[in-house]
Amino acid sequence: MLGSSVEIRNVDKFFGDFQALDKVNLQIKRGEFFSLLGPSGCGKTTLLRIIAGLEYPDSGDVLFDGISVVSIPANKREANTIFQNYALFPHLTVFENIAFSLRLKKMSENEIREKVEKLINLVRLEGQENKKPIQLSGGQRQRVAIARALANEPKVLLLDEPVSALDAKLRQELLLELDNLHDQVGITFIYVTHDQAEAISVSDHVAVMNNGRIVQIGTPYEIYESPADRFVATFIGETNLMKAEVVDVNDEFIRVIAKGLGEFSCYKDKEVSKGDKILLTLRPEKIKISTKPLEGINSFHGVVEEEIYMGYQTKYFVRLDEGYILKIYKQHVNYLLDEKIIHWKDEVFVTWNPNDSFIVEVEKG
Amino acid sequence: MKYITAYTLWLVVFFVIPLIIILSFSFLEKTPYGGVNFSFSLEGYKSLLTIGYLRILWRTVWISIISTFITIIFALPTAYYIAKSKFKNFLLLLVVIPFWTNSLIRIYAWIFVLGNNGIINQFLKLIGLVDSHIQFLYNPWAVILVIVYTYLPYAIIPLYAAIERLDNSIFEAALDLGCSKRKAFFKVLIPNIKAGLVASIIFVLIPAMGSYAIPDLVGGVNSKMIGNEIARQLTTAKNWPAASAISSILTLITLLGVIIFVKSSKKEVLN
Amino acid sequence: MKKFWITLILVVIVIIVTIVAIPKKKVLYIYNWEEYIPQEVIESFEKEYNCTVVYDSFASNEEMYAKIKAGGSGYDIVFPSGDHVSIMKKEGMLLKLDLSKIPNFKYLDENVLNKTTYDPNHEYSVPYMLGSTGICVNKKYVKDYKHSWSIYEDERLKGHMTLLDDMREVLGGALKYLGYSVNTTNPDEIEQAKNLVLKWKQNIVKFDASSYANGIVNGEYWVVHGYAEDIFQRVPEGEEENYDFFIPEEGGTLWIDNMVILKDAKHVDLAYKFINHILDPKNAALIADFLGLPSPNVEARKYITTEPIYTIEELKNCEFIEDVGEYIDLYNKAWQEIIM
Repeated sequence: MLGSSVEIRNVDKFFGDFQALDKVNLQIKRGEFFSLLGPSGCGKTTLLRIIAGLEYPDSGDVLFDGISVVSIPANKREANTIFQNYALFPHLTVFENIAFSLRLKKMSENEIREKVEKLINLVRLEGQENKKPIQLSGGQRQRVAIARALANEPKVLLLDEPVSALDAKLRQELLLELDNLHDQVGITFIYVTHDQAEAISVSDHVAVMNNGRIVQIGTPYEIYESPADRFVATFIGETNLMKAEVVDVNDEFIRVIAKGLGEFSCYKDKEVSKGDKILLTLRPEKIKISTKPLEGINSFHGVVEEEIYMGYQTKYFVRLDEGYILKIYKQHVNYLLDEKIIHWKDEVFVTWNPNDSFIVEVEKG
Repeated sequence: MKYITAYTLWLVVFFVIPLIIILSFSFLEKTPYGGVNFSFSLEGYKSLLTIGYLRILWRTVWISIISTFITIIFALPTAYYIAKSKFKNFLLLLVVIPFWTNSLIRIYAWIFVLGNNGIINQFLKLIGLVDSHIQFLYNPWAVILVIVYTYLPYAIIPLYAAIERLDNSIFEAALDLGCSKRKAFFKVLIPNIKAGLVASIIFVLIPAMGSYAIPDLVGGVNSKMIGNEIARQLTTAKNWPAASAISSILTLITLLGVIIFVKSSKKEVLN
Repeated sequence: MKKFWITLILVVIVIIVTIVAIPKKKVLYIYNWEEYIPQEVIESFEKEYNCTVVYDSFASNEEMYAKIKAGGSGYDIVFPSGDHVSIMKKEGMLLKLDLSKIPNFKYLDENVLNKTTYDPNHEYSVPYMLGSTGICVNKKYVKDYKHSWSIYEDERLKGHMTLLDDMREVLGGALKYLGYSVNTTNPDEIEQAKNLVLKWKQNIVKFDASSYANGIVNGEYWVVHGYAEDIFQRVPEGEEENYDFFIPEEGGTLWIDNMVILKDAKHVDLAYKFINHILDPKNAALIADFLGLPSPNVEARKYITTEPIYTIEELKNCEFIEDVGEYIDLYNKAWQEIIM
């Protein structure tokens, strides 16, 4: 199977007065695993339904392999959908659900049998052929939905929050399976989710959406490490947001002064000038914490206000001397046996590399 | 549990016992002026072995089946539309409103509309399309029309309940997998509302088989149904065993029909 | 569940209270044809004897008979037609009357009293009204016709006529037209009558006993077979001359409706008083005016203000429908072949 490239051009969609999509542009490469990520109501599902042909854009265009498909109805588009609740046909068996599109194509009984069996093997549903959807577990239902969609040999597979109805552990498993499946079938996957962890763990590219707009498109790494704005920074993972004023500008770095923190350096990833008010984001795991004084350009002293033990790491909330509360994740590595475990009310030293903070908003001063 | 007891009691007192009485009367001897002698006789059934009864029975069956078929044809899209509408409750109210008027008045209303001197004929005369009138009523088709009209709400409601319960995404899935809307209707909608469909058919077919007032009022010289004949045997002819025999046969036919119908549709669902 | 029981108990209490509280006034239960006694006559009775009259109605003798036969009807006075008086008498459903309790009986027309072959000595029944079924023509639509049963052979009127949905009345009309008795027991005569009715059936819309009166008044039908009083009660004021009700010249069936007291009546005294009240000449006149029928009450004729639709004189060729016993099966068979 071969996937299609998908392009969205200037798509607008209104539901009454509500604008669900606002000038959306997207380019998805052939065979990519692409995620649409955003909070509920951001328009990601609407966009998916427009790609599927279940909704029509009010303006703009949708192209598969460079050819407009807007005028092609859902039943003729080479895209198939895994619905959020799987939408299996309750009156048909697993076998017949998967064979549904094949029967519409009037294939011979032998061909159908052969094809369905292949798909059943692919999604590992052997022995469940004659069960009705109601007799299956959530994970099995999802697999039927996938097999049913793949049976139609789509060039694009659209997945609408396919694992959201499952419990956390199963979700991880199925996500991994989806990833493997994607590698096997090689078609384009467009995956809609509100869960940033899902999106960044499986996707080649992620588009983050908010209020009907695409805020950032990039690889999971780019999205996480250099969020384009405050929304992306806070929506994906946890972060420390710091308001600061630029006091000095160099070639690569700037000096800023922030209330509650004092003066420190950071990487100049956006063009700023002296006097600008900026918003910085700094991921909690980038900060080093120790009971001993630490060397570094950005070094602060504070007291642990709260400590949350999470097994693989501990979350600390450290109140700096000047009042700012910094969120810090510390992995439990313990290379040095003499390193003291930090506890509540301990006095600590913290530091971070100026390269690790990013400017997400600039207000010219 | 108490409800079940109460319901069973209700069923026994008002349904099972009368049914047994009717059945036993059909095997008794008639007395000249109505009533029965308590001695066994098959006269009640023997008196039905005439070509006339076959004709009336056959007429009852075909009128009922055609009426039911037409009713379902109208009820399905209506129920679908209501289930998908934003104004469900309002539309359902509209469906139920006819029940606020006595059914006899509603039948008379049809005479007012379609009668020889009814609104439509007066209009046709006014615009010069007909000289005297077109006789719409007083034939079996008029009976079918009014049966459809009367029992349409009974068919819409179970269908509505079945469709409303369905997840809309299965239609989208069908479209997505290559179905046209028409195919989605037959391949996905119909098989999934089978229970509602069976209920609707039963709700229409059974009362249609027992129609009395409708053929009496809008039927003509050749549209009497079994219900009218039962009434006639009980009153004018004063032949209670015969009336009971017809009633028993009607009940039996209906019951058999329903059992066969429900069984076969259940089998289909299971396969 | 508790709520259910409380509601049930309340409902039962209300019913009991209603049952116990109301019968402080005596109640007379009457089972009669619809709109057959003017309201003022009932009201004057209620006033005079300080009682309540409950008036239930039936649409046919058969309906009435089936209900009484089933038992427990609770009625005191019933108004059956002659043939059903004889049936009910034979079935032992009627109370033997003490005519001394009905002093107004003396006002009844001897000619009428002589016709009550079903109860020659008036042991069980008192005549209330008499008349004939006839044919009514709406003259707005039909101009030229004869006062004869042959109107049903007129093909120009096809699709505009009805006959009663009543075996004896329709076959009776046909028998009269053929010159036979309406009470014949000759299978050949009945066969001929059947064939005649089958011919008439080609021209009629339907056999109808329930909507013909409305039908002729609103123009739905042009010619109907039925009861004059049914029709004229519905004719709007001032339009009476459009409707010609006639007794066919060949004659037809005669009916006499009677007052009887049921054997299991609970208010016998009041029932006698009611019958006597009806026979009071002034009341009888009110009734005759209300129905537009000739009064069997000689004395009442002095007080009558409207001319009846037909006179007792015109009924000379008509024949009373008698109970024919087991020969009814001949009629039943013929009728079945007609209507099925």
